[in-house]
Amino acid sequence: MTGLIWRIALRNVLAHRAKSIIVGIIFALGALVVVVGNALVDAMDVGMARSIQESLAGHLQVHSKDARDPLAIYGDEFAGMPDFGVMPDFSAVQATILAVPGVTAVIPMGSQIAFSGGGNLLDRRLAALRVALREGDTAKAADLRAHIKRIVMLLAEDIQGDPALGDAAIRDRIAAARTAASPAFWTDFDAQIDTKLEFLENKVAPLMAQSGFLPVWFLGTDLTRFAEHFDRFKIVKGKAVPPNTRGFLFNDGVYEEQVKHRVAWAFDKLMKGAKIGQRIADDPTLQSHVDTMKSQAKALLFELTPSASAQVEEALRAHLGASVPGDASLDAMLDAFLAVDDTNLKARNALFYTAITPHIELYQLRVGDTITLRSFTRSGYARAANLTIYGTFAFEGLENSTITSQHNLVDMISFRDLFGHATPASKAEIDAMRADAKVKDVKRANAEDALFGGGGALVEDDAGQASVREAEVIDIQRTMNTRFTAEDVTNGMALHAAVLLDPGSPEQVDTAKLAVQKALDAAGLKVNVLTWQEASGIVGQIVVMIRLVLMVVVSLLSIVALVIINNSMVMATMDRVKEIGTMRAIGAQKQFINQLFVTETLVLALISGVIGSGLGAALVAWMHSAGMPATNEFMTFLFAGPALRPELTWLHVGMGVFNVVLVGMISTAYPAKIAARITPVEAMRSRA
Amino acid sequence: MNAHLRVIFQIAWRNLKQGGRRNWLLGGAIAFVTLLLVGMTSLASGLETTMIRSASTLMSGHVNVGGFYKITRTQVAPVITDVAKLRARVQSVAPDAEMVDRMRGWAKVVSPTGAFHAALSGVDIDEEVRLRDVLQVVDGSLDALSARVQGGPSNSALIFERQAKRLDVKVGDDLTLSADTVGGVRNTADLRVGAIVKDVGSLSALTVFVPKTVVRTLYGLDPDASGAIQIYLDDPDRAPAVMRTLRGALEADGHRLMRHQPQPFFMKFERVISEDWAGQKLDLTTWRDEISYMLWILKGFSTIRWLLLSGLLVIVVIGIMNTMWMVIRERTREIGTIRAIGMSRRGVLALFLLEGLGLGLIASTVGTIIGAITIGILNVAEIPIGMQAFQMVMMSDHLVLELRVSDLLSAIASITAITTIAALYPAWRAARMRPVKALGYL
Repeated sequence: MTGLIWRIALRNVLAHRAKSIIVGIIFALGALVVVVGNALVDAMDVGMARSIQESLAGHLQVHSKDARDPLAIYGDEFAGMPDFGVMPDFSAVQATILAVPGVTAVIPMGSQIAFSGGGNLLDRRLAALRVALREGDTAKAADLRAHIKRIVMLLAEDIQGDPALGDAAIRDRIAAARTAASPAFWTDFDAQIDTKLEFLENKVAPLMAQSGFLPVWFLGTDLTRFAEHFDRFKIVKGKAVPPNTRGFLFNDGVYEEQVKHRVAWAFDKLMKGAKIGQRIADDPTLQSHVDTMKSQAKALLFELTPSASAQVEEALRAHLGASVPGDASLDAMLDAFLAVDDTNLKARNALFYTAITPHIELYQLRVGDTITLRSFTRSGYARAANLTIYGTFAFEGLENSTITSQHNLVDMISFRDLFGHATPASKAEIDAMRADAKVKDVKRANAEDALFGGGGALVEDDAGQASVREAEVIDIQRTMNTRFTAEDVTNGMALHAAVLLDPGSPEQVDTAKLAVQKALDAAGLKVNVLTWQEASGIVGQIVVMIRLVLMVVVSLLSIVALVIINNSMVMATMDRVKEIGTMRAIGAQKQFINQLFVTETLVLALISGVIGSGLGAALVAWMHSAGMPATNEFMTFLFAGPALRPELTWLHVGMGVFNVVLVGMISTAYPAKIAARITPVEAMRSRA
Repeated sequence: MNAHLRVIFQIAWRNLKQGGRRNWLLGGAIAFVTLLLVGMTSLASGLETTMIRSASTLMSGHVNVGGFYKITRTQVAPVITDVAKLRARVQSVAPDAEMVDRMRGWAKVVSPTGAFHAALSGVDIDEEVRLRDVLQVVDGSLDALSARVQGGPSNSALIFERQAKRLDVKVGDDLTLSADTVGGVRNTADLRVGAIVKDVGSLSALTVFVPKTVVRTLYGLDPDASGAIQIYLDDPDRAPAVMRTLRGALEADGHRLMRHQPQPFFMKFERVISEDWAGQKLDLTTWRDEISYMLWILKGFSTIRWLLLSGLLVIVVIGIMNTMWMVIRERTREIGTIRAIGMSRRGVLALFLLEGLGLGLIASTVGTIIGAITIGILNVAEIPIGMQAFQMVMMSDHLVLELRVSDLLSAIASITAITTIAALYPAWRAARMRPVKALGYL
């Protein structure tokens, strides 16, 4: 009986060719969409997870149960300074978690925003002059002296009239700049060089500082183990911080975006645009980069020493040739040079990097320099640390993703200094000191008010700075030692920590979470365990949101497809009323007709499902080998690299066939019922 | 010909009615797709409206006359000077626009238990009619910020509910602001929480309103300095035009203007710092520029909408073609008959196209009506959005959908057009049939 049904079903599928082809195509398309869609969704899901796990979060994150705000390692809706609590004794937490099977590493972490004052051009030139004088390099000293004079002149030229804003300190500095720009200042410069340099350093140089400071978002961690356990971590420039040493690593993304010279930055952006076929002529963003460049002619002039100016002038004259008048000034030639368009971009980029960058500071802070980080403890006390910049780092494949390129790295010991957390033992002592300091602060504020009057509730000016300096001195003296031991890293506080597991499936993350939480609870530690997704705040939620949206899209498509397939099946059944009637007349039972219809659909669904899934699998395989390029930074994050390479699994192919068979079964139930209801008489009477 | 057309209409209508189950199912699918289209469009419109509202309350007018003042080439403040004169001039160019001016700053806000950084918006609460209108006070009073009501400079801040929660403060509690001046000096100001208001989207986390005097003292600014003149128009869509007019007028007056960049002012700092000028430059923007960094949400949303709808439409088009093809097979004899009694090929074509059109029109209208009713109900119910990421993307803590008649009409028109086009090929096949052959078909 069953064999007969299968034979008739197969015959019918072949006989009703038109209907079979139409429904078959719909089935096959459905299978193809399921296979490709699932492969893509899975690849993105895994991609997002890897982007987060392999760059910062690890598989699990732990932090204190006393936290006031939920842990969000990429930040939350507020700008800065959340309270993630403090785990005062990281070593106990680490020991407890490492005892849980499957855990490979526990890496301490803590993040904070600091501001980097850094020096400015005038500061650095003055320092270089002092060095040259000390070393007796008269030629270099003369060159620097001339350069400093030109900087001061240009600075004074900038300040037009009386500024419409600014406090007493700024007005004082402006007056100083005007003094320094007067010829009289320079006539006896060499005779009174110390006084002059001091005057320039203290009174004039602050005017050259950029307003605001470079905000530096840093993550304190065990740098050695971080590099060891986060596979994607790689050094881009410079070198890794040696083990057990204080040090700072810039995130290469931050370094290129914020620390690089603006002209070089703009050239890089333009070259990047040109590489992907964008043209300055029709791209407003690229045009705005050209604008940035054009506005830099004077700034470049500022930076060149007189001897460098001569070399740059020569190189530009050779490059620009007849396009500028023979007697054009360097100023005018720079203007012409920076007006880049699509035709000359490549040549000018090359010339800029060969002829101009050797004479300017390509990065405000260079590898090997010392960066001064100033941060404020939660209660508002200033902390500072001077750290050597050892190099820059990136996460392999995620270089273009801003989401994973926000944090810079510092060693854990410096982080603790900057965060300002004390051990419980010295906490009371510190509290006493703080209370003391607060009293002093208030006094200073009052003094300021008395001096300048009318400040009201505002604590102005140097009062704030003085206290910064004082704190800085205390901190730096206490932490001058740039070396520490591995025990120092573990025996101290951490805000949170990444827990890395043996490579495994996402289900293992959830079981491990429970196991780790249980172990911590048993050890009496007030520490909370979160999965990477829960710990990544808004970023983790975006992952959930994208997954949700993809699921909704796929299910809506399925619903409508189901309706359409059902529709086709109903019509196909109606087409065959007469045939059914004949079968019923020669003795076929209702059940037989029902089974026949279901079997027919099954045959059709299996054949077309296999064809569709096969085509889908081929498409996925092609996408895997070709790679779907990420065209923007968000896609880089989503794809966990520059291209999405979906993996083909038997599960996806199986799901393609299964889904189509399932949809076919559901949509055939109704037409099969209708067919079975048809009576022979009714069928014979019908028109066709 | 007219009679002819009427006959075709009649036959098409009869066929549609007789299609029965088949048309119900297909019509249902089309109606469902229309409903989705209407739903997603209303979500997009709602999103845009929420964005305008959030942006124009918290950080921007419909058009802004802001700018930067550079003491030296590297020291920049988001300040415009001579504000009274500038406002008078702007008013003369746009006589019927409302305007206010607000001061701009960035500060750390500290309470005994919490802290965050936020944009400071220095306001004269007495002139902020619109702000007073939009903000819903939960505790305290906006008058706490008014120098007029307080009879002297106010030291109160206006914060949003989620900020109050983060800082763990109530009305009357102390807050400290600390900010760096242009010259790099850190100043602080002690304030009191004067009012706590309901959140206006998740951007509320990033803005704190204080009296102008507070910002002025914090940064050591002249009395006639401000941050930006915010201009409000009856029709926000006029913003670009008004901005252009203003640019022309201000330039003619001799003001130096920055090149128009579709970016919020706080993203322009880095660029302005590195530019080669000192003194005052004005920068004119529209609300859209000031929230340009949020526009990716609209873009992302419309991409998803486009992908989903085109996927659905492909399925529906296949369904329609499939149905029509079967209909034609079923009615081959009928086609033969009407051709034999004199209907032209074009008549047959029109007949089948009309069927597709009728089905599309009826189904999409039904879908649109159901959609509109559903949206109305959802809006009244104010469905809360639980997840923070959704809140951030939707810029609201509850679902906001907006019904626009034009969107509804265009949904009907586009779906009907697509179904008609889908019927084109089968209809053409029907029209090509030879009467003799069609009649002989069993």
